[in-house]
Amino acid sequence: MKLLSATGITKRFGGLTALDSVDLSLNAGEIVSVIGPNGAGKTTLFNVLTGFYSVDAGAITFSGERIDDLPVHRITKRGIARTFQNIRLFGSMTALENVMVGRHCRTRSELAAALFRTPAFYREEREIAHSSLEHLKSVGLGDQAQTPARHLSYGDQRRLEIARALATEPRLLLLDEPNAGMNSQESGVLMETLLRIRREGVTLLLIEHAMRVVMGVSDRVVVLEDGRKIAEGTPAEVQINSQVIEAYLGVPAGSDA
Amino acid sequence: MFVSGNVIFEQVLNGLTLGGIYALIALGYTMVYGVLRMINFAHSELFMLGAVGGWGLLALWPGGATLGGICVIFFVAMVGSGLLALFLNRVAYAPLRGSPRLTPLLSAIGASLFLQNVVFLWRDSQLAFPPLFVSGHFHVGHLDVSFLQTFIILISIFLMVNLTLFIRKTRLGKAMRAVSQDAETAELMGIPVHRVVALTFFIGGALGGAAGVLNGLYYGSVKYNMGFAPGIKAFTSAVLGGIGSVPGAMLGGFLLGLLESLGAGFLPKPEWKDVFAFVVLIIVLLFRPAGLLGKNRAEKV
Repeated sequence: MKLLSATGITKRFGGLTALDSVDLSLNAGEIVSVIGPNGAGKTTLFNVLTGFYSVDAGAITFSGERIDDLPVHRITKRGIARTFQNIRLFGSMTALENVMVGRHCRTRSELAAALFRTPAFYREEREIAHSSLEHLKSVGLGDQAQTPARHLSYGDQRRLEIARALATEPRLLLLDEPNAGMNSQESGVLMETLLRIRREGVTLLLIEHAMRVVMGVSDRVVVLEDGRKIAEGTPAEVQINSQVIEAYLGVPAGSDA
Repeated sequence: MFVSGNVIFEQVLNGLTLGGIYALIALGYTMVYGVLRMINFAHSELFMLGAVGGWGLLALWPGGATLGGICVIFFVAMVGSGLLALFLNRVAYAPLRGSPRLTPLLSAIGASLFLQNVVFLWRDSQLAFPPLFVSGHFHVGHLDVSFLQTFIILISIFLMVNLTLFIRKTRLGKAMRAVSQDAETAELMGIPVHRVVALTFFIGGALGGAAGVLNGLYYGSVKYNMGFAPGIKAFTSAVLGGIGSVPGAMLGGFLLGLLESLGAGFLPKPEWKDVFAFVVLIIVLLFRPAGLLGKNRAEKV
């Protein structure tokens, strides 16, 4: 079943075309990686899919409905969440509070209920705290619930970003370089986490440079260069694609291209 | 100069009374700054309109000077100033979002002049605020304590405690903190940022309206231009405590109130009180440019 389909996505910044009619389609339950040299447009693609940038051309459909004209918070509510390459947690809030903020769009208590402290309000606050703690535990941060986010170690901050994104109950999770700065042991844990998230029914789209992770978990790989999609296929197919090798390593010496 | 314990106590009480009012107004400045990085210079008019609205209500309803009546007046003034703040955000600020920072500032000054002049055209003189049920003094040992001052201090503390609980404990409070730390990420978490900004304006305006009624009760009169001086002092309090910081605004308000009244009590001439208070402000900012509880925002990306 098709979960996301983006067709002809074009995004320009002044004279620079960051994305040039890119097509991307994701089936429910897939893990797809986007790779490409720096400046290829990978993060721009994430910003377009989450509604941060409006597209100059093209359409994005998410589970059958157009989302390219929706504001960011509505897209989140439809079920797309993301993490950032440069971690963007709410630094002075505790780990638990960060996840609780992620629960925001799945809860409803109104201002009046909060002001008059109705029983329903207390019930909902308890439910938020409880389910948020479960999300923290699922990424192994159960014992850090009360630590302010900025005091967590780098790896824990990355894990917390994932927990916070999962708290919005996404059907599609976009992860921007989740492996950055991790050692090989942490990498292994991350790959297990990704596979577990997929088993729970979440489709994953990753931007990743670490080929061990890309090749280890992806069902498909999409390669971007200079805003264009130059290849797409299984990890094995992409690895031997000559255009991809060129994009990464340059034109082989002696060729006359 | 003769200084008795009694005089010190009196000045401290005056300072806490003034400080509570400053702090309530300062919260409006600091909260809006927190979510928008903008100083709402029309905020002092929300304070003035809360006071004038309270006066108008009491003029229409002479029976209002009772405990039940004052609750109604507070409620109406707070909701009224809050709604006006929402309206101001809608017509004067929201259309300018994304424009250079000076543009909404000018719009705020324009809105401030407009609101003052609307009230001026309606009533251009000093309006006597009727005394309420709280009057007279009670004694604690040798000390004279005014009922009115106690009432003002308690109300302002009550409002601040509730605000703190709201921000710390509730889902909407967390949403406000999230928006003030990183609006873009907050929106990605599904938080409707423009609605949280509107809520912030409403709460800030409501606290300003409450401060207006308290100020009217304290000085016994209200006037179209009464917002200016307390507005500047409250803005100063917010900067002193660290603009953007809610506990900072509370601390700054009480501190400025205390400095001012102790200055008035112990300097050779009471007129020196503002000089004293602002010298302290300058010294604090020299050593802590971000204010007492403010964070230095030089975070690396």
